[in-house]
Amino acid sequence: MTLDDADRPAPPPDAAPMTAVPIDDHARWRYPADARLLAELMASDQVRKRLESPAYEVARQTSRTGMLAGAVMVDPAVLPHLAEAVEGIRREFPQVQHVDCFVYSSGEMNAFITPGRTGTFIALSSAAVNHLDAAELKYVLGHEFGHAAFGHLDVLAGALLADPALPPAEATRICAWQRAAEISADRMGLAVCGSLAAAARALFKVASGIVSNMVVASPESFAAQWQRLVDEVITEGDRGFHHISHPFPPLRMRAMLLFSEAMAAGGGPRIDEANTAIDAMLAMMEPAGKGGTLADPLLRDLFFWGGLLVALADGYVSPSEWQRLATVTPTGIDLQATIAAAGQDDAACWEHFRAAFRGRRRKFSGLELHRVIYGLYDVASADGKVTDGEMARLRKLAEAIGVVPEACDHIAEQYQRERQRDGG
Amino acid sequence: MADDTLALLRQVESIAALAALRGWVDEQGQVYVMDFDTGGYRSQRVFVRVNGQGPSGKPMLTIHSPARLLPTRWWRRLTRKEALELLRLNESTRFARYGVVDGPAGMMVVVLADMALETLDAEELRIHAYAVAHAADRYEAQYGSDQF
Repeated sequence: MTLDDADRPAPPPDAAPMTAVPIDDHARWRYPADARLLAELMASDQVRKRLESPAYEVARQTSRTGMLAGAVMVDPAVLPHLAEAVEGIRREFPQVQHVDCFVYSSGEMNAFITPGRTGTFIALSSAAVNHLDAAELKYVLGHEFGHAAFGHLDVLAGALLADPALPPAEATRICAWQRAAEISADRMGLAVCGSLAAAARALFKVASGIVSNMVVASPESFAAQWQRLVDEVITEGDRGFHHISHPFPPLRMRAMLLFSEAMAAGGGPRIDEANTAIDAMLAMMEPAGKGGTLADPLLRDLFFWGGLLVALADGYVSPSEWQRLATVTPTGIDLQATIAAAGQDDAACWEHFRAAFRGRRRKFSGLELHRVIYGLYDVASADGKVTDGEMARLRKLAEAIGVVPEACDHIAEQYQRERQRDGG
Repeated sequence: MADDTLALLRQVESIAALAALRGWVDEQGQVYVMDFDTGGYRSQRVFVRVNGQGPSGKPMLTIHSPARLLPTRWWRRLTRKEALELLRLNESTRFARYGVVDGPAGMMVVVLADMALETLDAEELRIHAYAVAHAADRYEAQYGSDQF
């Protein structure tokens, strides 16, 4: 138990105190996609009928009894510091009624929360209690209380996902919601512990399993791992993350960092910007990047360099083409300077486009190749017309990625048909 | 049409476009439809339908094309000789297989091929679609018809 360990080095102070939103204003701390996806799930017939099924109720009870069988209740007389911490946090969440805290024996640092018959059970592994300091533990407890406060306990996702008859598309939606729910819960953890540094340490310890008190996980350096992870996912062409319930740890850290900075800057539109950035990060874990023609993050470099070449086929980039390109500009690229340089000599654009294609370790699927050509046609048609020059450039780009040039005409027809169908 | 099926057929449409194959989604019939010119002023219609899930839970597709209809009259059943011929054709035909299905109009000889959507690429779709179209048309031509 390390809640009051005075001999531990003091954690570094936080650069960005969060004062913009009161802690009890839970709705404003919530990540909007979490609420939206949960509402969509609750409106789904496939999900609702399972939530109302006897099998679901049995699974719920099994989860509860399983915990009661293998854990001990935190008695204020035995673990006063932990009991007081739980009670102190509970007061911040008036909607979470009676809470019983349990500790179970496990070398893995973990915690979870589950509804009981008359209240809520929160459970911590012994490793978490043994190795997290007071602020880190507050983060973990706040995170779990956040799940309860945001209504996440209304859906026992594990029980739904265990149903082999659940359609794959529904399973994907459930996992997408789980990941968004983790972002909301992380924010409550942050709100409760009040320290981005403590949140970073806790997240690092839980993810890595390293329990040393010498862990120095600065929020910025931890969050910076995100870009390297993105590069690796794109290079590998890996789309196998959509069934994972938790976002990548560096993504969670970066999401907390963005949110914390937005709060420190006064909230409001800055929080909207942070949420949009987090939406884009979470899209990396979707099976095929939802949200629009150019939304697939794994194809971003092909969209950008190919889109630039298509747009420049007429010698200039129109404002609407510019806008499209801005949505797929890779990190660290100055769009204006790149367009100016490409206008003089586009050889580098070709090289980047080919490198993005060749650099992929996994073979591009037919759907991915289609998405590339479709996306490039979308850039070309941004200004309302696709010229012969743009079409010729598109065919050349198609050839460079092994697509027969005639396919461009078919995809162009399909694009126009779909725009008409969608009323665009 | 179920949204999931429609979404999968739209994916088929995308891969078909990539293969420079022309076709359309028939929402009512829940199929993707393509017409092939098989030469000699003959043509063949080919359908792609979503056909459940493979062992890994991923969606499977079946390309099929009708080759001969035997109307529901007892003297128009498939003869033993014709059934054996289909088995021989199955042995020698590449990328497609022959089968019979019973429908309201009678027994139908069809040519089919199965594919996993997730790994389907343009060339594979083109090869299978052409193989099914030509096999079905050849069989149909044997009986002096170009109905399909």
